[in-house]
Amino acid sequence: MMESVVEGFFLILQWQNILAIVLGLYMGCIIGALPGLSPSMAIAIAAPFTFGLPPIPAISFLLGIYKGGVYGGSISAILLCTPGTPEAAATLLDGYPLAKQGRARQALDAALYASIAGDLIGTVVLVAAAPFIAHYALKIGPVEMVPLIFLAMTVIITTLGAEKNKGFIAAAIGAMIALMGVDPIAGSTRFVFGNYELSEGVSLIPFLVGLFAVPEVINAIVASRERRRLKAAADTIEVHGERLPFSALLRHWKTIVQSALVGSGIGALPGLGSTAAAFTCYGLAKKTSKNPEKFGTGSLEGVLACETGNNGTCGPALIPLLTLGIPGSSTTAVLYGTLLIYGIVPGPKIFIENGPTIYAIFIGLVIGGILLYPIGTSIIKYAAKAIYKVNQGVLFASILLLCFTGSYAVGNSMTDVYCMAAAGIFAYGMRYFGLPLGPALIAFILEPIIEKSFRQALMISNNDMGTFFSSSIAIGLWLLTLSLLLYGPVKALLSKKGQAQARQ
Amino acid sequence: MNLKKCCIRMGQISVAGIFLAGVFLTSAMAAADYPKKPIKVFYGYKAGGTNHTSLQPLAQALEKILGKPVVLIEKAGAGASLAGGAVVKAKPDGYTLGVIKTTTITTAPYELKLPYSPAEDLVHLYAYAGPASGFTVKADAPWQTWQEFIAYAKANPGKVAWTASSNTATEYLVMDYIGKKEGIQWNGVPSEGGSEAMKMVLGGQVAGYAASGSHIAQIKSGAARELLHFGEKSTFEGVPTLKDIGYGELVIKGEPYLFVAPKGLPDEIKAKLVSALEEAAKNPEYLGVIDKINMGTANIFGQELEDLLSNNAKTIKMLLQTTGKVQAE
Repeated sequence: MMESVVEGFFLILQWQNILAIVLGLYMGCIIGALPGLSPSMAIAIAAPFTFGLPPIPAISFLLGIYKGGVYGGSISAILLCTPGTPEAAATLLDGYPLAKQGRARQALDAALYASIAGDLIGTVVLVAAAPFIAHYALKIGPVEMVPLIFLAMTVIITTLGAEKNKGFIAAAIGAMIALMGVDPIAGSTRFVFGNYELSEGVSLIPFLVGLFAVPEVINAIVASRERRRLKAAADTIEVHGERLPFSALLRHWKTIVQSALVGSGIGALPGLGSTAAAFTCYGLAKKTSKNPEKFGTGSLEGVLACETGNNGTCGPALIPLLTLGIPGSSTTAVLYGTLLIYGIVPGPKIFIENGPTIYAIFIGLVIGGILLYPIGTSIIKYAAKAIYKVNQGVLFASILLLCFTGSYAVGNSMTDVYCMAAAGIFAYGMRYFGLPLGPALIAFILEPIIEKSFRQALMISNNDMGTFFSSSIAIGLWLLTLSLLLYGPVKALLSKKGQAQARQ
Repeated sequence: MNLKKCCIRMGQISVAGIFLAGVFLTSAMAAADYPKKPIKVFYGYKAGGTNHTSLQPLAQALEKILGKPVVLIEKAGAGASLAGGAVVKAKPDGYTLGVIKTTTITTAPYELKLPYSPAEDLVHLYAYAGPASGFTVKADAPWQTWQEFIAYAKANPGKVAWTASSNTATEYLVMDYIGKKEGIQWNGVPSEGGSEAMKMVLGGQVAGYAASGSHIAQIKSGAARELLHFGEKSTFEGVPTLKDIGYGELVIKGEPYLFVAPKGLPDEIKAKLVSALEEAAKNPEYLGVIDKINMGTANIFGQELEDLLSNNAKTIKMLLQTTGKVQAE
């Protein structure tokens, strides 16, 4: 194995490969920052163009796009309140309030540092524990997926704050929208109103863009009218503010490590995805934070948690792909095809048959993680300048334009554009009634997974509800969920009792 | 009844075709210098998937032969019927083509309310390649042969579960049909796509996967084994086909991806496209890719393609009716 690592090291340390990583990262950051254009789309489009290259630069380039993209989404989430990628939707919850307080630069720095930290820790997990984790990833079937999602939701629920009822209503709305399209089990269509173009359901990216960006644009229009009436100046986002000192980062090392590990864990399981990882890390950070009340109003910790979490998934997402030949997301599915083209067959024997190439790619991942720093900083500088100079009217008009073009680009379909517009108007209505948008998105993402897993598990077991407690992993996950759920109330009850006793 | 209607309709179409060809000399003139501009191809599956990967080198070869760019446009979803829908709406001038699968013609109309008929409103040009299908189990599964598996399933009613990529996938229907005929009570569990299905097999959640394509890499890497092949000729030596086990009526001659054009495409352009595709399908780079992503070439067109489509359509209709997914007439 050591020989393969050394050989891999020499394979990757060629200027062509480093150039491929740098180009990939730049491309990824920019595509990630543009709302609607996602890294998985960019990889799918770029993959065929890399087929002329040798395997290492080609795959390094694609992985660079992947990592850069997952980070890049945070830039627009923080500056424009428009998540550039689904993964950045959780970053927006604290990033945008920070930007409004004039601490945009700090939020951007936090996102960059966190992404790098998550990336590196995730890559370490990938290199160190790939076979071990692959074994467990396979054990997570439909039966275990159900308690796993319950566990994730009990963690995410803490982010609802005081507005629990409204959060539940918002989540129910999101889940109902996710029901549209073809039933994953029965194959029949639901809520498509006889339109076969809706049979794929509402796509994630148009829904996401509509949900977050469009209400912000409408708000800006309303606010500018208001300002004209009051003759007040516009509140601009100042990006030239103070940078984030490194010591501030060290103070939150626990959040970072915890989020990176949770992100890695979720990344290694095919099916849950990096958006769910970001939200789970955010919820967990809030639960374990000393200042949970700050979350949602501009907490650096919140930004750190989400960004470490979503970048933490990048490396481990390759584990099921490489060691089992099972791609867990659309991004890794494209990488799977690329590997096959190069004659690298993912599976248990990959380290024996293609050891040096695979280790070269791993080392490329580490190099990419480090290179993200200079590249991220240069993009922040440029983006900050561009956005700072642009007139607000032009800015919001271009955001709206990006919403439309980005939604169309997802599937070359006007249906997606209509869905985006409808989601936008709907989201504005939700905001009017004070319904939070985060729970609607997370329910939209998790509903199809839990529905499918629940029904698959019942079908496999011939409709025996006992199946959900039939494996030790499932029982462990249920117990963890239950203890998290009861932790708060029991603690409150005990402290009340303690107070009552003290009074007597 | 339906057949008669179909015949009449086809008659009408051909009469209309002759009429159009006779009257509009311009179409013949257009065919002579075709293609004058880039050709758009809407493909019905996700960018980066095996369909797109196989199409890319074929389109490049086609470009060289026709001398004009061939632009691939993703229009994924609804079993490629969205791509078919985009083609139907276009002008039949040969500058808008689509890539769908035979199942888009044979199965999708039963699943979805389509505003067009993929069988009649599209000109079927050329079927190039497709995935092989078969029933796959984990490498260390206790069953060595299909017979052993069937015997085990019979002895343990309600205990054996298998998966397929959706519950209207041809592989799912075949398994469901066999279960009904053999009187086996087993649980067919649809999954979303091949990689999820393969994961359930390798993880031991289900016994096997009635697979289409994605199993071959796993078999080659030694993680899985094939017990039964669904096509005419086995991909792997020693694996019986449906015909071998006594289900000759189910043999599907493959479900390849095919190029389609809007109805009313002038015959000259059709002939030009088919011969260009025939030549492109001999391109060594394209063949290399097809081999690496474990697809099999089909290379059929004209009457042979129509025969395959009508044979598959008949078999799938019978399967849908026997398994109770579609009401018998």
